[in-house]
Amino acid sequence: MATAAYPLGGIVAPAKRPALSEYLRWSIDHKIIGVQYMVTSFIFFLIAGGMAMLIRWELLTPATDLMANGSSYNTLFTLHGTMMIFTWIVPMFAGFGNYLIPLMLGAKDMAFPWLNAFAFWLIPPSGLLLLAGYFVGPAEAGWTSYPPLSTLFSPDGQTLWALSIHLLGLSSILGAINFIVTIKNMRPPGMGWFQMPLFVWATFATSIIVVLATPFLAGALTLLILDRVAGTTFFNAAMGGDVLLWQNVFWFYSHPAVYIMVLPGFGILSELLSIHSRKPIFGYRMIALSSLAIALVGFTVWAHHMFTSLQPELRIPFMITSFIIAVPTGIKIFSWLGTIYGGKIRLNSAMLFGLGFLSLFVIGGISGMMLGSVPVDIHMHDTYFVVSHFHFVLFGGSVFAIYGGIYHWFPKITGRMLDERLGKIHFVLTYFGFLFTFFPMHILGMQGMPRRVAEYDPRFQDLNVLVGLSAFVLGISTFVLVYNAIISVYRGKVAGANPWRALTLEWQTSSPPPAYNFVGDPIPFEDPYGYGTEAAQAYLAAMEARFGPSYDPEARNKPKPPASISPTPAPEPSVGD
Amino acid sequence: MSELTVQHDAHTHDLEAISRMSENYKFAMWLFIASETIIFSVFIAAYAVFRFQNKEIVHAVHEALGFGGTLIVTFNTFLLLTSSWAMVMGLRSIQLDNVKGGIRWLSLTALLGVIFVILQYYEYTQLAAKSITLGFETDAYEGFGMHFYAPTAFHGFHVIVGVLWCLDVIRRARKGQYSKDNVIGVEVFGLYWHFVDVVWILLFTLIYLV
Amino acid sequence: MSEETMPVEHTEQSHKHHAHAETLAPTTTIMGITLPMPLYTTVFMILGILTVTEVLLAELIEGDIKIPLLLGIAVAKGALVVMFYMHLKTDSRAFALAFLVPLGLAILCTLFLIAVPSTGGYFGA
Ligand code: HEM
Ligand SMILES: [Cu+2]
Repeated sequence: MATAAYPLGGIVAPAKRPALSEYLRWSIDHKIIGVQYMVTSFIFFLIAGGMAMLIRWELLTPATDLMANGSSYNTLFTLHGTMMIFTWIVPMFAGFGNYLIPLMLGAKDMAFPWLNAFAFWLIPPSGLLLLAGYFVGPAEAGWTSYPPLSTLFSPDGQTLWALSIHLLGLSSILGAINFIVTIKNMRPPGMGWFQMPLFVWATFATSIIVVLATPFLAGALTLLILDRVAGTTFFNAAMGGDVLLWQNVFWFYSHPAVYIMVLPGFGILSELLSIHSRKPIFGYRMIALSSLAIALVGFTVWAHHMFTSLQPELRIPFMITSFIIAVPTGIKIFSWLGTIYGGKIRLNSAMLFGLGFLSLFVIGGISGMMLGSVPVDIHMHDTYFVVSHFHFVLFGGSVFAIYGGIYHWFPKITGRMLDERLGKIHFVLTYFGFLFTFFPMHILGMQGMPRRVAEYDPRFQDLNVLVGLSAFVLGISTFVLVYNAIISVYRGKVAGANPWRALTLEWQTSSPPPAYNFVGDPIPFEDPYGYGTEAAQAYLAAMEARFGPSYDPEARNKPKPPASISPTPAPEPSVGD
Repeated sequence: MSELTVQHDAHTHDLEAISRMSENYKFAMWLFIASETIIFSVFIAAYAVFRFQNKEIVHAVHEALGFGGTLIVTFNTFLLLTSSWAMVMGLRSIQLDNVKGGIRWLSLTALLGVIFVILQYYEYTQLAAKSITLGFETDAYEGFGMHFYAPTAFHGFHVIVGVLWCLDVIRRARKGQYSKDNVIGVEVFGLYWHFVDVVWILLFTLIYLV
Repeated sequence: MSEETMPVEHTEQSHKHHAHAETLAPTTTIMGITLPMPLYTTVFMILGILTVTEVLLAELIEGDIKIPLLLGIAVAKGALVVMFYMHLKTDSRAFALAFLVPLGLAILCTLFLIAVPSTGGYFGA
């Protein structure tokens, strides 16, 4: 064989994987729960993605032709947005957190394993509750659910919608409490706050936001449900209520919540960039602390979503806070650039998605600043420009981070590598599909196309067709990942303990890790990102000696070993049972 | 790595584990209370906004209820304060190695909680008789009803949950699950119960006195 | 052992013992006066007295001072429960942070809602 033999001699089969049935029942093992979160939310992602395809199909022409009427269109974008946020991004990051936090801390499990399982099992029923709306007339007031649309003009599905979000919120609060306690109290000896991997920091900051912000939504939802079922009129201005009460309280929650949706992605990105450019993270403390800064300042900007509804005197103060919050984000961006600058970059799929994140998130951040400035927002509010903005940060940011994270940790979770060639195809389709779907929306928005409409002025059609076709490419790209994951679970190259030669603790155990994660107590490397140093080399060599060789991403660049000592081709690894 | 394995004396190890678990449980409970604080604040804010905008309505309600009305609620407030006191005294008993005494105190806590809920229900029927209702159109006091019932009923719901939890703690205590060195289950329940009491302290002043 | 040199976990531990000593004792000493009852009972007495005071004040006084005064007493009562019954005074500082940050946030948000004309309008209208 001309190429280096994979798997390398010595790694024959991945460590034993849990049986499939383990994933289908109640389990209090954080690794099982982590995968349960990820797979469940991915299924919801596919459903919500399907809805997006229908939305784009409807928008290929200016008239309402695919849907029976505007209401069906409303329900589609409502459930699309709601599910993408509450049943895909949030629980997916919770899945990463569950799987990785105990491993990164060298712990056996989360602080409260039972609570952890409970929080997960709230999610599937809540997702189904959302969809069950289709039996009684689904929610159609958008993911923001503004009254009076959501109180006076929505069918019963809106009540199910509110109940479902309530349960999902409870789930994420319980999960966040678990993360905070685990991170504060279960760090191993030798790992101070500033030696934690940055993903742990990001999850910590995110969890603080969840605990502080989500209850605002819970309170508002309770009032909304009362308005719908108990005859109260908290949000009915004609009857002693106030619609702005909802808007304010909703955004007390929801602006902080956009950071719930992106901070863990920042954490994943920090891991990816440092590991795959083989360089210490640049400005570790700044990245860690800016997450906390974002968590706090995030509570001061909510009214930038209400520039057109709140009284004018308040616009300038909220414009200022919105600009301030870009500072910690900017600090992160520059630290990441500093991290990869001059690094020995491995352009594998994980890294490609990381770099994709970086490039797209910057655009989303800039359009955020534009929307944050009052004169621009007065024109752009509720247009496609806003749609473009939040897809750049949520898809270009969060979803790219999730994809990168999947390529990066799939080997740890399954013991097998994902196929690199398919990974690159996935990346190219996603990146360009994304750009051509969402970039033109900036232009549509500036030209005045409103969001949340099934019918539009014919002069917008050309760009909408471009957007629609690209969206279908983007939709298809998802299945490249699904296919890749399915075949790689069985046929992928065996990963070994530490295929990326990383220094954080999750790589210091077999892939997948055994029950209770570690044999003995793992000892953290002094600096989790001390790549390229001699200490790191020695450490990695010691790890290899202990755990056996791993798949070597750089093997191809190494001189081929002389035939005499070349390893005998390993037998086809037996499929995990 | 194996050289670093430390030999623990079995007994201190147990105590250490309990103490670490205790810290975890208490911290988790405080974080939960953090969330509850925010969620209650939404109801309280809704009431406060109403109060500031409709002074006359609130005054009219206070007039209509009279001193007799305040007296019932004051009595109810005393019930909750006393139950909180019984709660800590129960905790103290168990810490002093008197589990039996602890059970007695905790039973008092649960009992007072139950009476509180019953009296609150009675108060609601009184108010309903004066046409203070959830719906705006039927409400004799234009919106007071909904702004009043939402926070108090949400609080009442917490009391009911607390009573059930208290009964569970009593059950565990009788099964001998707590001892001088292991009171975390009682302490965590106590945190919840006192928090519910604190919320009432604020609601009482804000709604009935101000 | 000197307190300063001990690692964090142990300080928390010693806090706890200290707290126990205070709450388990059969008497309470406040401002040099020793009362023949446990701390918890003393706090209960004070709570009772404050509540009666509140109700009387609510009936008796009128004017601008009334609302802040009554709310102030309520906050004092709440603080007593939180500090002594919930042991926040002696427990880990992380707990205090976990309680006070959301409390501050809740108060600010409530004040905002009361203050803006479009919602509460107390200061605007
Ligand atoms: C530089 C920081 C950011 C600023 C200044 C900013 C600013 C804004 C503004 C002013 C709007 C309202 C536009 C309108 O409705 O007229 C908006 C909408 C939105 N932003 Fe951002 N943004 C930033 C970052 C983010 C991030 C990081 C996320 C998510 C990860 C995000 C998610 C959203 C979403 C979902 C909406 C749409 C809400 C809706 O449905 O109306 N933003 N942003
Ligand atoms: Cu925002």
